[in-house]
Amino acid sequence: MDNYSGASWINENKLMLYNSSPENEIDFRVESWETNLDSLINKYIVFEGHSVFSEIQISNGNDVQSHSHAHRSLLRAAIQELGPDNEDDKKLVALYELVWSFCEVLFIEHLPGGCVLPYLMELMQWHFPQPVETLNDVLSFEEPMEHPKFWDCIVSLLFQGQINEALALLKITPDGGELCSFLEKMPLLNNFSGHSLSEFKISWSMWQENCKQNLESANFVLDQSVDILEILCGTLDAFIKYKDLAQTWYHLMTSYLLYTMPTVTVVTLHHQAKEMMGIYKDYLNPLDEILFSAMEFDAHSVLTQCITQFKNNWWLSAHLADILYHAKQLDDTELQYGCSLREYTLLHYASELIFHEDFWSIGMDYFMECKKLGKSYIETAVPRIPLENQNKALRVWSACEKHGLVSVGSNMCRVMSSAANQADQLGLALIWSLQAKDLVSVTKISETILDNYIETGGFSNLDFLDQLGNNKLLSNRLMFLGKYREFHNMIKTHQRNKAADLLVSLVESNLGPPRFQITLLLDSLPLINDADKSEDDNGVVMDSRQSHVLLKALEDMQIKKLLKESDMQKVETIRLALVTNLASSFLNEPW
Amino acid sequence: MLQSNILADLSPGHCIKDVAVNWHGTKMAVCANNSVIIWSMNSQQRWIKEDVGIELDKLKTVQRISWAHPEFGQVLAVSTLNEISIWEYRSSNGGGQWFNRTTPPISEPRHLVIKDVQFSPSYSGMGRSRALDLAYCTDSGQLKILRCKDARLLKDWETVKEFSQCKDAFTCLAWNVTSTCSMIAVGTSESSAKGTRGEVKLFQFEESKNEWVSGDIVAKTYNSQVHDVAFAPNPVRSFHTLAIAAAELQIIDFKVTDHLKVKLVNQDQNKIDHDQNRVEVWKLSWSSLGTTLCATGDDGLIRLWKNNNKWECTKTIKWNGMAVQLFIFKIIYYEKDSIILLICRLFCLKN
Repeated sequence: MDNYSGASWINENKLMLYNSSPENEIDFRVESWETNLDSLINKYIVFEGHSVFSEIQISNGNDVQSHSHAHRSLLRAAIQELGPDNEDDKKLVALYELVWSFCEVLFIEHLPGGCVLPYLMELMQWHFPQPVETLNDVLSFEEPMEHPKFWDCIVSLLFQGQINEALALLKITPDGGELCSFLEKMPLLNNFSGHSLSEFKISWSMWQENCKQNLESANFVLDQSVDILEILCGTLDAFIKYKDLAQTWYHLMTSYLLYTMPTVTVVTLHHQAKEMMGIYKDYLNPLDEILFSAMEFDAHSVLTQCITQFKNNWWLSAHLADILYHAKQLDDTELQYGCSLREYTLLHYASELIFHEDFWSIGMDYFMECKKLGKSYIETAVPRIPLENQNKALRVWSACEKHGLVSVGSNMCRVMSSAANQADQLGLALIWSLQAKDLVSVTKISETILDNYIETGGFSNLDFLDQLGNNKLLSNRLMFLGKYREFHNMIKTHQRNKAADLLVSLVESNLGPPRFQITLLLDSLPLINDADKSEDDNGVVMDSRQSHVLLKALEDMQIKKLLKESDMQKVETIRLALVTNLASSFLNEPW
Repeated sequence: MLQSNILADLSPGHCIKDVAVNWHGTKMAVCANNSVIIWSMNSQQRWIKEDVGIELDKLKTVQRISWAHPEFGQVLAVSTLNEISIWEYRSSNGGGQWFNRTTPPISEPRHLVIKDVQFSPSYSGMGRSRALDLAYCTDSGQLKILRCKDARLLKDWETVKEFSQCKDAFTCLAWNVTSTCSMIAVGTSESSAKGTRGEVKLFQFEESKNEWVSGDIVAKTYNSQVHDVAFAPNPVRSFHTLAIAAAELQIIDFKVTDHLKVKLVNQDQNKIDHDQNRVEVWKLSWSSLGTTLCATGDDGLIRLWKNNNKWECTKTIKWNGMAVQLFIFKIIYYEKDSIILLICRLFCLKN
C-alpha cells in the first residue's frame, strides 16, 4: 500500500481527510458542510422555533392553532428580515412558510362551516402580492387605461378576490358601469355574517345566474369586458386563458373556486386540485406534490416528501411533524425506523443541532422530547460535545442534570477532572471528581495534594475546601485534607487551643495517609514551642493526655518502620519537644 | 455547501501514515515519519499546529496512533513497526509537553509487524471497571489486549488476553463497546496462489466466563485483503453495524447468538449501490451518530454513504481534482523554513 489516504469524522458535519504518497506532496484538510444553521436567519428560526416548540410540549396539545400561527409568523418575520443578499435563504424560508400555511389551513385551522376558501384566499394574497403592486403602478399613470398591464391587473385582482380594488379600475373602462353593477352585488363569504350558509349559497347562485343571463345578452365595447364577465360566471376557459397571471395551480384553483364553489370544503378540495394540476402539468415540481398530499389529507405523505425535498434541512419536517402530532393528525405508530415519524424527524433535527456551537442545548431539548430513542442518542452525542472551557463544561453538566442524565453528566465530570489534573490544577480536578462522585479519584487527588504539601510545604488554590460542607464526608482522605486545612486556618487566626485539639484528633483518627503522620507531628512543634507567648492562662497548649497521644503515635511509627533515615533528626526534635511539653503540662494540671 | 480547510505540511520526504482525531473532534494527531504532530482547533474553529508534538528516534517510523478516552486525559498510543509507546500530555503554567510513560512489552518484536493499535473507546469487558484497555494486532496473526494497571500513572500494563493461533496475517482492528457487550473485529489477509483474500474475525468478551474468547467469522472478502473495519456508533440499535473496506465496500448488520455465533440481519436494507461501489476501498470512518459512513476509494474519490433502505452514495469529494480547485477563493501561504501552511476555504457542491 503505497498510497495512504483516509478520512476521520470530527463530528456530524465535519470530516478530516488525509492523503499521502511517498512521491507526492502531503495534503490534509478539513471538510465541513454547512447544515444551513450558520446564517443569521437560520439562527433566528432555530431559536424562535425552539421557544414555540417548548411551549407546545408544555401545553401538551392545547391551543395548537395559536402555536401553529406562532410558527408561521416567525417564518414570515424571517422572510421580511431577509435582504436581497440572501436570496437562497429567502427562497427556502418562503417554501417552508408556504408548506406550513397550507398544512395549517388544511389540518389545524378550525374552519367555520368547513369553508376553506377565505383562508386560501388570504394565503394567495400574502404569497402573490404582485396584483396590489401593479395596481399602485397603474394608478400612478396619468391615463391608467394606457398602462400595458391594466387588464392583467384587473384580472389578477379578481383572481385574488380583491373586489373593491378591481372595482376602482373597472369604473374607468367604457363598459365599467355594467360590469361594476354585477361585481358590486357579488355576495362574499367574508361579509356574510349573521346569515346561514345555505342562505349565502342561495343568494350567491342567484347572483351568478343573473351574471350568466347577462353574458348572453351583453353588448360590450371591449373584448376584455367579456372576459371579465366570463370570469364572474366561472367559465373555466376564461381562467385558463389567464393562467399565467395565477402562476401556480393552487392559485388558479383558489381563484376558480371563488367564482364556482365559494363554499367548498376541505374534503372535496383534492378533486379540484387534481384538475388544476392537469392544466399546469408541464410545470409541476416536488413542492406541488407536497401541497397536493396535504389536500388529500395525507399527513404522513406530506412529511415523507418534506424529508426528501428539504434533504439537509430538518427544521420544517421536525416542527411540522410535531404540530401535526399534537393536532392529532399524525399517529404515533412505530415505523421501520424503530420510532414514530415525529420522533424520526425530531431525532434528525436534534442531531443537526447537537454538534453546533450555539445550539447544543437546544438539541438536547429536542432529543429529550423523543421518548423512545432520544436518551440513547443523547448518550452517544453529548460526550462528544467539545468542552473548550470550564464555563461550557458547567453548562453541559447542568443541562445533563436538568434532564436527569446522571451517567452522562458524571462521565463528563471525570473527563474534566482528568484534564485539570493533567494541567496540574489539582483543586479544580478535585471539584470535578466530587461532582462526579468518583471516590477513587477524590481519594487519589487528595493524596496527591498532600504529597505536594510534603514536598513544597504549601497548598495552592484550595480555598474551595473551606466551602465543601457535607461533601467532605465522601472520602476519608478528603475529610482529612479539609480538616488539615482547617487546622492551618486556626493557626493563622491564633486559635491555638482549638488547633491543638484538632491536630491530636487527626493523629488519633488515622484518616490521613500513614506517610503524612510525621508532617502532622512536626506541626505540633510551633504549638508547643511558642506556648510561652500564648495568651492562655497556663501557657501550655497541649495537656498531658494529648502529649501522650502524640508520643505514642511517634513510637508507633518507629515500630512500624514508617520513618526514613532523613526523618531521624526530626523525630528527635519532636520527641524532645513533646517530653518537655508533657513535663510542663504535669506541673500545670491539678493532681 | 461544502467548506474545506486545507492544512498542508509540505516538508519534503514526509509521509503521513495515520491521522487520529480525538474524542471531541478538537485535536488531531498526524504521523509524519518519526514524529507525531498535533493540530488543535482554536476558538475561531481554525486548525492550528501546536508547538509541541512527539518525536521518536530518527530511525523509527510512526505507523499508527490512537487517542485514549478523554477521561484518561490526553493520552496517545504511538506504534512503530514493532513497538508501542504510551504518551501523555501534561501542562502547567501555560507550557506543555508530551511525556513517554512507558513502552508496553511486545512478544517477539523482531518477528512481527504491528499493523494496528487502538484504545478501547470506553470501558470494555472485565466487569466494566473504569480501566484503560489497548488492543493491537500483528501481521503474524496475533491479537493482544492490554490493560493499564493504574491509569493515572500509565506505567504498568498487563496482558488481559493474547490470541496468537491464527494462521493469517491481521491487518486492522476495530473495537465495539456498548452497554451490553465488548467485542473486537479484526481484518485478515491470506495470500495464496489463487490470490489474496481476507476475513473479518470477531473476538468477544464473554461475561459468563469473564474472559475474552475467539468468536465467529463475520464476513469474507475476495480479491483483496481487509483494509479497514469500522463499527458504527449505535444509539439504540439492537444489532451491530460493521463496515468493511476491501476490493469493495461491505456493510453488514449482525447479532451474536448465545453460542457466540454471528447471525446476519437486515440484509435487504444493506445492499450497496453497485454503480458507486466498483473501486477498492481503503479507509472507513463513521460519523459520530453512525448516520453516515465515509469511505476513501482507489479512484481518489471520497464517498459519503447513507442508508435509505439501501446504502446510497450521497456525496463525493474529489481529491486534488479540478472540481475542487475551481472553487478555491482564498489561499494563504505561510512560509517559514521549509513548512508551508496552506489554508483554503472553498465553497462548492452546493446541496
